[in-house]
Amino acid sequence: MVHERVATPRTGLIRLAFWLVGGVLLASTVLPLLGLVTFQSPAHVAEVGAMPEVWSAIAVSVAGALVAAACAAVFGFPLAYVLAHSQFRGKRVVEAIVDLPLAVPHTVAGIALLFVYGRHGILGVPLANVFGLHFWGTFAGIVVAMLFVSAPYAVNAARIGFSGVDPRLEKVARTLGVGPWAVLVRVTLPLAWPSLLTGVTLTFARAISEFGAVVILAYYPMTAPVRIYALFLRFGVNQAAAMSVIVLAIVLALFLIFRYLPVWRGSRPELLR
Amino acid sequence: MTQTGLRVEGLRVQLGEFALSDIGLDVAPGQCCVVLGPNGAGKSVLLETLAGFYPVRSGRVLVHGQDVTRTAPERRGIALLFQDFALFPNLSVADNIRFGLRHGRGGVREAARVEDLLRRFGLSALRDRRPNQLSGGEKQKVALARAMAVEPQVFLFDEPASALDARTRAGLQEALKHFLHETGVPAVYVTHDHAEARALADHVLVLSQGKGVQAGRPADIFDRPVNAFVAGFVAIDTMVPARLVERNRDHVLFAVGGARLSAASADIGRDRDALLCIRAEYVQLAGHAPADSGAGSNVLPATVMDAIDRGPYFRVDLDAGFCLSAYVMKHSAGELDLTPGARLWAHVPPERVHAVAREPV
Repeated sequence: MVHERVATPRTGLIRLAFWLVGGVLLASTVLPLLGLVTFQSPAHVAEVGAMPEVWSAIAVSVAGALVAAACAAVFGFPLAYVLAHSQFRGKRVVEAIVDLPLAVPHTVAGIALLFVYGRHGILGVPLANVFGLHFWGTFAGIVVAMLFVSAPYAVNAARIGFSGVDPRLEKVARTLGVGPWAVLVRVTLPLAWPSLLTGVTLTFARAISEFGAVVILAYYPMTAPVRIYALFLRFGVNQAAAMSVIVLAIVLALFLIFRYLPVWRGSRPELLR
Repeated sequence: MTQTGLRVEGLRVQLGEFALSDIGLDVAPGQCCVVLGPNGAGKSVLLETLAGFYPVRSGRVLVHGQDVTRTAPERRGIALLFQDFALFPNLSVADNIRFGLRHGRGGVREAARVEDLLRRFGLSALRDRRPNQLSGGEKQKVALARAMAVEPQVFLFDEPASALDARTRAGLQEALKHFLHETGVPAVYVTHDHAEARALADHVLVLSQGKGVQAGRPADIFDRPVNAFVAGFVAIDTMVPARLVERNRDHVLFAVGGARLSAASADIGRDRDALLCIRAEYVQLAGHAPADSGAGSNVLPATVMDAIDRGPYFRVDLDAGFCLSAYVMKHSAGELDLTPGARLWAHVPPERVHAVAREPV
C-alpha cells in the first residue's frame, strides 16, 4: 500500500515554505540557461550554426560521451554487482576509490591522466608501442578523460539497483532449475534495469559536459565545450554564447530522450522475460 | 538400498559464528515434516542448506536415495517457497509459472503445462495480473504452481503462513495438507507457530540454537516434551515446579505447591526437582467431588480465578494449591460455575502429568 501524504493545514504551510526555498534552487538552474537563450539573436545563432567545425565538435562530444557511457557500463556494472552482493575486507576502500573522481578537480584529473596516458605516460608508451593506441590529442584521449570523471555515476546507480534486488528472488530462480548465469540475465538484470538506465544516463550527461580533464589530455579533436572555449578566446563572448545555445538544445534533447522515452524507462525489455 | 522421500543424515553447517549441527530428518513421500523453533534457531539456514545454498561441513542430503549434498541448487529438484512467496514482481502470473519451464525449447507442451497449472490452482482469471495486484492467498497459489511446474522431488516451505491473515492461514494449512497428499511429494515446513505445526505435521523436529532438541510424532512433542525449553515452546498451559516425594512401581508422587500430584512416569534421572507439564485440554472439571477421589487419584479441590472466553471454549485458571489451567467447552460450561471464587474439583489423569528435569534458568 502506498500512503499518500495528505496536507493538513499546518503541514500545508510547511510545504509552501519548502516550495519557496526550493524554488530558489530551481531558479538558479533555469535562469542562467533561460538568459543564455533569450539574449541571442536567431540570426547570430544561425550564422554560428553554419560553421562546420561547430557541428564536428558536437559530433565528437556526443560520440565520446556515448563510448564513455558504454565503457562505464561494461566495466562499472560488474564492479557494482560485486559491491552490492558481497562483503569483503577493504570494501570501503574500493567504494572510496569509486567515488574519488567526484572529489578530484577536473583539471587535476586531466594532469594526472596526462602522466598515465600522455606521450611519455606509463601506460601511454606501451599502449602506443603494442597497439598503436594514442591518447594525447585523440578521440581515445577524450573518452578516457570523460570516463574518469563520469564512471562513479554508473557504478553508484547500478550498485543501488543491484542491492535492491531481493536475493530470495535469485534463490527461488535457482530452485526452479535456472543456473547462476541465467539467473543474472533473467532475474537480476531485469529487476535492476531502471537503475542501470539511470546510471548510463547520468554517466552520459556527465561525460558530455566535461571540459577540464578533456582540455588537458586532448585539446584536439575539439569537443563542444572545448570549441566554445576556443571561440570565446578568439572571438569573444557572443560567438561562444551562440554555439552554447546550440549545444544546450542538443544536450537537453538527448537528456530528455534518455530520461523519458518509455522504452528506456519503465518497461523492461521483453527479451529478459 | 532404495529409499524414497527426503533423508537428512548428521547435517553440519558452519556460517560464521552460527552452526547447525547433527540434524537428521526422514520424510516419506506425501508427508510433512515441520521444523519448529524460535527466531534465530537456524530454521531458514536449514532449509536453504537443503536447497543447496550453503556448504555442508559433514552429513548427507538424500533425495529418493540419491545423494545431492554437493549438487547445485538448480539440479537438486528441491523447490523452496519463501515467507512472502518471492514472486518475480516484473512478471505476470502466467510468466511466473512459466519461469522454470523455459529452457530454450518452449513450444506447445510448455504452453499446455502453464494452462493446466493455471486451471488446477484456479488462477486462470488472474493470468495477466502482476504480483502486486494479488492477495496473500493468491500469491501463495502462484508460488505453488510455479514450483509445481518443474515437478520437484521435495518441497521446502519457509514460514509461508506468516504473511497471511488468520483466516487465509487456516485455509492454507488445509489446502497444503491436501496438496501434499495428492502430489505425494515430501515436504519440510518451517514455522515458529506450534499451532501450525500441530495442524500440518506428520513429524516434528524442534530446533534450538542450531541443534535438534526433539524429534518425533506431533503427539510426542506436544504431550511429552523432553525439556523445559520445548515445553515452553509448544505452549504447555500449566508448567509448575515440583519435588519428587516418592517413586512407586506404578506411579511417581510429587509435591506441587500445597498439593500432591502423581504422574504415571517421570524420566528425570536422579534429580528430585522437576517441572510438571499439564496440558489444559486434559484437565477435567466437576462441580462435585467424584466418587473415586482418594490419594493418588489426582482429584484436587480448586478455586476459579479467571475464565477467559476463547470462542468455542473457556480457558479457566484455577488455584489448586498451584496455578492450574483447564479448558471447558461452551456446551458443557452451563453445568459449572465459572465465576471467580467458585469452588470446583479438578481431575488431572496421572498419565497426563508429564515431568521434565528442572533446568537452572
